[in-house]
Parts: sequence; structure tokens; C-alpha cells
Amino acid sequence: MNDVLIQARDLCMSYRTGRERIGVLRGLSLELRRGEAVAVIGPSGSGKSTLLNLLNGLLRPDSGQLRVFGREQAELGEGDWAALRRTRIATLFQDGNLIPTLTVARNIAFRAGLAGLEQHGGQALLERLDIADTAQRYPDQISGGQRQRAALACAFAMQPELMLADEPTGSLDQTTAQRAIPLFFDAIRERALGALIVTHNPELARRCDRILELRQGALSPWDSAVSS
Amino acid sequence: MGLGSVFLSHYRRHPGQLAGLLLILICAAMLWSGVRSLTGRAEHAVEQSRAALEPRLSVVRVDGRPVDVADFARLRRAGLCVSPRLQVSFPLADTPDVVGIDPFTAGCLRQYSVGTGVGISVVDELLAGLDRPTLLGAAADLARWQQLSLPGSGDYRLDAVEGLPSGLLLSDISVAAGLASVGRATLEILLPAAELDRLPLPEGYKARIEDYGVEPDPLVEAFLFNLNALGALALLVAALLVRSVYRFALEQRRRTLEILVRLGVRPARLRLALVAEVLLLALAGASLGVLFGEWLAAAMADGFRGTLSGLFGMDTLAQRPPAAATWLGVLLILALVVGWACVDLLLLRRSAQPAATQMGERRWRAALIAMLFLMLASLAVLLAAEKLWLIFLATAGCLVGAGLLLPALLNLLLARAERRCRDQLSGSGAPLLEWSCAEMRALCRLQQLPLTALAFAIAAVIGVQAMVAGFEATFARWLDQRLRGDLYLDPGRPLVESAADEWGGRLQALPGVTAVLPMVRGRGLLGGLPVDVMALDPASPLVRGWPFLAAAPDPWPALAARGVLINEQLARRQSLALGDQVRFRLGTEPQAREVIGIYADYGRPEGELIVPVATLPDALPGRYTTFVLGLNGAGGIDWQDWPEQYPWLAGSRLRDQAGLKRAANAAFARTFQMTRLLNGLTLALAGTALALMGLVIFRIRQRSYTLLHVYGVPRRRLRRRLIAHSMLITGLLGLLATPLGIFLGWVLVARVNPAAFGWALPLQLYPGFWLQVWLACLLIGGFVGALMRDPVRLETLKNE
Repeated sequence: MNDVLIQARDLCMSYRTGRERIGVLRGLSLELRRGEAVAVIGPSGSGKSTLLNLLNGLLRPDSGQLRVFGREQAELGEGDWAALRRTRIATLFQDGNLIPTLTVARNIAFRAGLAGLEQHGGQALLERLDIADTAQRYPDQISGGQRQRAALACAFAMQPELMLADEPTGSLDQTTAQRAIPLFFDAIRERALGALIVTHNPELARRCDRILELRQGALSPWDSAVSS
Repeated sequence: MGLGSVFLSHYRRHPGQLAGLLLILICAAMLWSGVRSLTGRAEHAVEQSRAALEPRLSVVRVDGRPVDVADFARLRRAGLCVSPRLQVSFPLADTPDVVGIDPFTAGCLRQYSVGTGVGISVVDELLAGLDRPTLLGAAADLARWQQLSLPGSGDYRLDAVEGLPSGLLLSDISVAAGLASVGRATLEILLPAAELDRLPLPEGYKARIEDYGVEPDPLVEAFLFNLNALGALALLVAALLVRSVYRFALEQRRRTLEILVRLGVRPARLRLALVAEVLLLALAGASLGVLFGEWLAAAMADGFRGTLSGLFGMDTLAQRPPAAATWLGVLLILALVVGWACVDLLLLRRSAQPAATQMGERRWRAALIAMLFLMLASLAVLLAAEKLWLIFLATAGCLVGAGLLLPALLNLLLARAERRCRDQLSGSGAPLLEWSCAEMRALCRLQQLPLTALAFAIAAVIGVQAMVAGFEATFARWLDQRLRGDLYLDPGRPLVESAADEWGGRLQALPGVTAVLPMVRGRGLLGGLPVDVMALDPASPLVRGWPFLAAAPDPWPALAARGVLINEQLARRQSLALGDQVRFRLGTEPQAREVIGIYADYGRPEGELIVPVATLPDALPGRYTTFVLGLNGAGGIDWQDWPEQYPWLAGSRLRDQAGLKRAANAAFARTFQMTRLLNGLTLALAGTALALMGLVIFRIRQRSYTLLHVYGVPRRRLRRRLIAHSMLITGLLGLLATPLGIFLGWVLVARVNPAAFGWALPLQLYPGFWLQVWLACLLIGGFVGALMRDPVRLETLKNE
């Protein structure tokens, strides 16, 4: 079994604004293994979200090599990427991003159902995350912290192998974030997921196996001394 | 930088919203003013044709009793310019009738009707000869008069005058009164139609056009009235649409408005500015709409003119400035929009972000029950009400109830589907189906008003089509009934029985004539009330295939033996059904016959009886005989020349029945074209608003679609699903709105018409047309869905 989930080399990505092209990623390289949690930090607009969207196939790089689960991205069509996102790659956003028209329980069932899973243990997940009482509520009827944990339950319900998280504690207050972070990492470690976490939260970053800094379009190991 | 600049900056950022609001206002005002302009012109034309073609009416008593000298005196004392006319008929065959007029009051009529009826010189001649009784007439009629040697007839001076109708001798009324004892006299009090614009008739009298043929006024009025109802519905649809689009515009600006309040702008000033803004928008849109409506009316006037002249004999449609009612309608839009916007503004402080929550669910259920109650109560009133305003009020109640109920019903249906997907379906497609149902429910909630407006538009389209098709079918039947045979012949004068028989024989001998059907009309009494009587020969081949609403088997032999045919109005009024015995009086002769058939007779609210001609007494009041002729190959016969070729036909009128039928059918084809255009405009209006709203709402929902893409649903599939959602909603709405349209059609033909005009149209159902409307709904849905192009936008997932 190949333990390398993501292998990226010299990835370049730019956006067009009007007539101008703005380079966001310039020769980015990265390797992520199963059971490894990597934090990516960097200033706003450095391309952190773009990196996540490249890794889950929502965007395509301009150049460079990207292998996901051992497959070249160039070989993967839109349908293949969609299948990967349904079954193997979970993406978590800052404010949860649950389907607003479904209750929390139905959101979990929905994600598991898309992955083709009949049994998802949704209720157990909610109890574990301490939000069992929110099961029958709609996303706009629960707090930001509950929403974030509900989104986490949805992500785990699909039993992914790779977790991509974009500021998962960004909308939480400090107390709630302190309660949510251990739950998040416990769940990742238990399932031996590979996780790439984009964050500004030092507490969250410190719990990861590695911290990388995205600066000027490339990743480099974070040096706290340099940063401070 | 003032508030105006801030407001303008919103529309600079969202020019589509401004364009959409204006477009809806313009379309609605255009539709309304277009319809109003057309119907206004037509109403004017009806008045004109009434005055030009039928300048003199006959005044009759409401109680049905014949008028006498005392009535004449009362009408004159009331200041009306009336003139008596005494017609004396004599029992001998071919005797000309003597028509006595009062030359002094005839001047009254003359001022309105130069060139028609009695010429000026004739009246002058009668005035000059007052010292010696004079009879004026055609030379042939005067010669016949001399041959008759009636008692005292030799005392009159006889003056031949060219141009008078044959079979009539004209005299001073005193001469006719002197002859009344020898013949049968009928007194009429004549009145110029235009006189009624000046003064109303005193109580107890009504005016009646002395016309035994077509009386199209009620049909025209009903037609125009119903067209106006369509215009009013278009206004209602527009008000709903404008409100919903404006509400969304407001929603988008909520944040800006809140910031302005935080910056110190007084909320009252802000509200005032918003009201001024919506007023300005509504004024601009409505003014442009009224202007475009005039253009639309001018463009459609040709077709409309053709329709009305073909159907109802109306010719002129003059360009007229927008009537007060047009502006009143536009003001109504303004009032609705501004009023509703004010309510929105008052609620501005509350969070109005529409959300798909369980709380919303409860509210929906409560609304559903309230609307159901409103609908049922309105329906009960509608069924029981006789007053027109109450019928309109109840219809409005039903429409409002149903309009709000439809999206709720849609929501309920989708909720059931969602539960079914959740509980019974399995496999990877089931979650998406469940999401689709939930998403469509959210769309229904967000699009409630535009969907209601679309439902109204669909209902209006179906209802109006039913109404117009009802008119067509009615008219076709009416034509079938009256336009039997190939030619219609009005002798131009009353014929006594023996003369009518003689005419029948002569007509039968004309070249190419295969059948002759004499139709005798007159007046009878039924239950003390006057009824029109028509007599015909049941054995004639020209009555075969006559359509009935209800009839005994073999109605024509039954008519000859023992029966009577009655019209629908009489059946309704007297609660008569097949098999009932009817007792009536024809002249002095009482009769009792069995109802063996009921026929439709639209546009004439009077009761009618049809009896076999053999049972008719000669002394039937108002007896008048016309003939229907069957021809052997009408195309090759020069019947137009008959009055010149055969002197006995001089003064008679011949009408080509088949040509009239063709013209009428062509006119209806034009009516359908116009109705289709109006219907299309209404649907386009609702569709445009739905598309505009759809654009805004799908932007709001785009996050959900994008999220699904992140979850692994391919973009193409989402795009297809988006279009499917949109089509499913409009398609389901189309299905649910169809009964509302049928209901609206029924209200127009079965409730409004009887209350307004005293007669009902049958409700025509056209499933083929419903299918077309439903397909149009699907197309609108597909179009709205396709407008979104790509439902996935990664930017929507960005943190704010």
C-alpha cells in the first residue's frame, strides 16, 4: 500500500484579472503521507486556498506535476476528481459549509450517501463531538462552533483518506476552538488520515506533524524564529 | 455625496436589477393600457354604431304592457324628444300598411337622423297637408290602396313619393288613428338613441332596438368586459412581480442601508428616500408602459377592428387618448408597489433573510390553513352571490387564497417527495434526490411571489382562452342556428299569413332554390311576461342539424305534434326542463305545449319560444316573417340581382349566410391571434420576472451547488440538475395552476357574465391548450435554469 497520498512538484498556478495574470503558486512542491498532519500557514492572499483547491481537483495547475493517491492529475478527468471527492478526499471550510436545506443528521447521511455508504454512524459521531442534540436542527439554527463540529462529522462520515481543511477554527472563539481542536486531531489520528490544514491558529498548527509556510508561491518549512 | 448617489451606486453595480424592475413595470403598464385602449376604442365604436345604425329606439314599458298616449305624454313632459308612430296593418293580402307619424315631433328625430328614415321633404309635405288628410307612398302601393276601397279611404289625398319603402303608406298620425278600427294598430314611441346620452328614461320605461335579427351589444359588451378583466389580472400579476423584485433589491442593499444608519442617517429619512425611489421607478416604468401600450393597441387595432366588425358589425376604431381608467390602473400599480414597499421598509429592521428552517415550515402550515379557509369562504360567497361586485370580491379572495396556496402546495408535495427519498430510496442517487427536493422547496419559498404571479399568469392564460373559445363556440352555434341554409331574406315589411304563403311559393320557384323555410317572429305572453315567439316549419330540411343544449329524441316531429322549443334563458328563468308543460298566449289564443328541446341563444336575454308555424294565429302581435332559402350551388346563382329582377322582391334584403359564416370564422381566427398575443405577453411578463428573480436567487443558492461540487458531484450534472429543478418547479406549478385557470374561465363565463349581462356561456375545456401552456411553463423553467450557466463558483465558499 502506497503511503504517499499527495506528491506535488513545481506546481504553478496563476489567475487572470483583466489583461494581467497574477502568479499565485510558483513552483510549489509538497509530499503528504497517510497518517500525517501538515499545517500550512501564510499571509492572506498567499495562495493557501488555491493550494487546497488544486489538491482536491477543483482547480487545475498551469504547470508542474501532481500525483494524488498515486495517480497523475493529468490522467484524471472531471469525473475521476468528482469520484475522489465523493469517496476519498474530504474538504472542510471555515464556517462548516453544511447544506442549509438539510438538518444536521441529514447532512451527515447525505455525505455518507454520496460516498455510497449505507452505515455512517452519524449519531455516534455527533455524540463524540458533543453535538448530539443538534441532529434534527438546520445549520442556521445552531451556533458557529456546533456548525463546525457538524461539518467535521459530515467529513468523517464519508470515511475519507485525505482531509483538506481550510481554516477549520477560523470562525470559532478561543474557548470553542480549544475544545474543538483535540476532537479534530483525535478523529484524524484514529483513522490515520492524511491531513493538510490551512490555518492562522498557532495552537492548531503546533498539533500538526509539520508546519509549512507558503510564501511567494512556494512552501518551505516554517521557521518560528524567522517568522517572529 | 448624498443618499441619491449611494442608491445610484447600487444600480450601477446591479444594472440588471434596475432594468428588470423597469422592464416589468413597462410590460405590465403596456399590457394594461394596450388592452384598455383597444376595449376603450371598441366601446366607443359600439356607441357610435348604435347611434349611426340604429338611431331610433322604441320606448317600451318595463311591465310589458303596450304603450299608449298617456305614456307618450309622460315621456314628453320628462323632456325627452320622442315621437309616436302608429302602424296599421290590414287583413287583406298585399295591402300596404299605413304608418302614421306626428310631423311636429318627427322633427326631433330628424335632427339626429338626417338621411335615414323619413326624409325632410316628406315631413314637410305632411305638415303642409294637415288641412286635408294625406297618404304618401310609392305609386304601386297607392294604386293598390285605391283598389281596396276601405271604408272612408276615398277621403284621403294620395301623393306618390319616390324613395319610400314599398308596402308602406305614410300619413299624419290622425289618419292612421282613423284607420285603426279597420285594421290592427300598433303604437310605438320612437326615440333617438343619442337622446339617452342627454336624459335618462323615466322609471318604468326601457329603450329597445326594434330589430328581429342580430342584437350583438350584450355579446360585444361581455367580450370587452372580459378582456378588461384580463388586463386587470395582468396588473395584479405585475404588482406581485414588482414587489418581489423590489424586495430582493432591498434585501441586497440591506447591508448598505444598515451601514448608512450606523453612520448616522436617520431611518425615517432613509425610508422616505426609498419610497421616493420606488415611486420614481414606478412612475417612469408606468409612463413608458402606457406609451408603449398605445403603440401596441395601434399595432393590434387592425386585427381587433376586423374581429369586431366581422363578429358584431362594428366598424370604426378611432385613435383615442388613454382613458381615465387606464391611468387609474397605472395608479393602482403605483399604490400597490409603494404601499407594499412601505410595509417592507417598516419590516426592514427585522432580519428578513429567507431561511429554510423548521420555523418556516410551521409558518407555511399556518399560512396553508389560513389560505384554505379564505378560499373556501370566498368560494361559498362566489356560488351564492348575485351582485357583480361581490362576485369580483369573492373571485379575488379565491385567487389570493389559491395564489398563496399554490407555492405552499408545491412545498408540501416536495416535502413528501423528500421524505420518500429519505425513507424508501437507497443507492448513491438517493441523497442527491433528497437534496434536490429540499433545494426545490427552498426555491419555492424564496420565489413564492414570482411563482404566485406565474400561477396567476398561467391561470389568466387558461381562463381567457376558455372564455374566448367559449365565445367562439357560442358564436359558431349561434351562427349555425341562425345561418341555416344559404340565403336569408328579410322582405322589408310585415307579411300577413296568406302573403307569407304566397311569398313562400314564389321563392320556391326562383332559380336554384331547393328549400324555403319561413320563420315567423312575434310576441307572446308566458306567465304574464312577454316572450319572443318564433315559428317555423319543423318538416323543413333547413332545420336539420339544429344544435340543442338538451332535446327529446326526434325533436322536430315532436315539435310538430305537441312540443315547443325554448331558449336557455327562458329555461333558467322559469326553471323549465324537458317534458315540462308550458302555457302561453299567442295573441288571444292560449296554448299549452310540452318542452321538447332547449337551445342556446346567447346575447339576447329575452325568453324565446319556437312553435310550429301551423299553430300560429294570424293576429300574432308584432308578426314578422323572414325566409331562409336553401340553394342548389349558391356560387353559380346571381341572387344579388333578384330584387331588381323580381319587382315583388323590391325593398327586401338578401344576405349570404355562408359568406357571413366565413367572415365570422375569419374574425374569430383573428381574435385568437390577438388573445394569443396578449396571453404570450402575460406569460412573458411572468417569465421575465421569474428569470430575474431566478438570477438573484440562484446567486444566493450558488454556494449550495458549489458545495456539492466540492463534495464530488460533477459540474455538468449539477448544471443539468439546476435546469431540472427550475423546470420541475414551473412544470409542477403549471399543473397546479391549470385548475385555477379553469376556475377563472368558469367564473368569467358562468358567474360574471350572468351577473353583468344576464346570460351565461358554456365552459369550454381544451386539454390540448393546457398541454401547450404546460410546455410553455417547462420552457420558462428551462430558460431560467439555463440562464445560470455555471452553478459552481468557488468564490462563494470563500470566508467573508
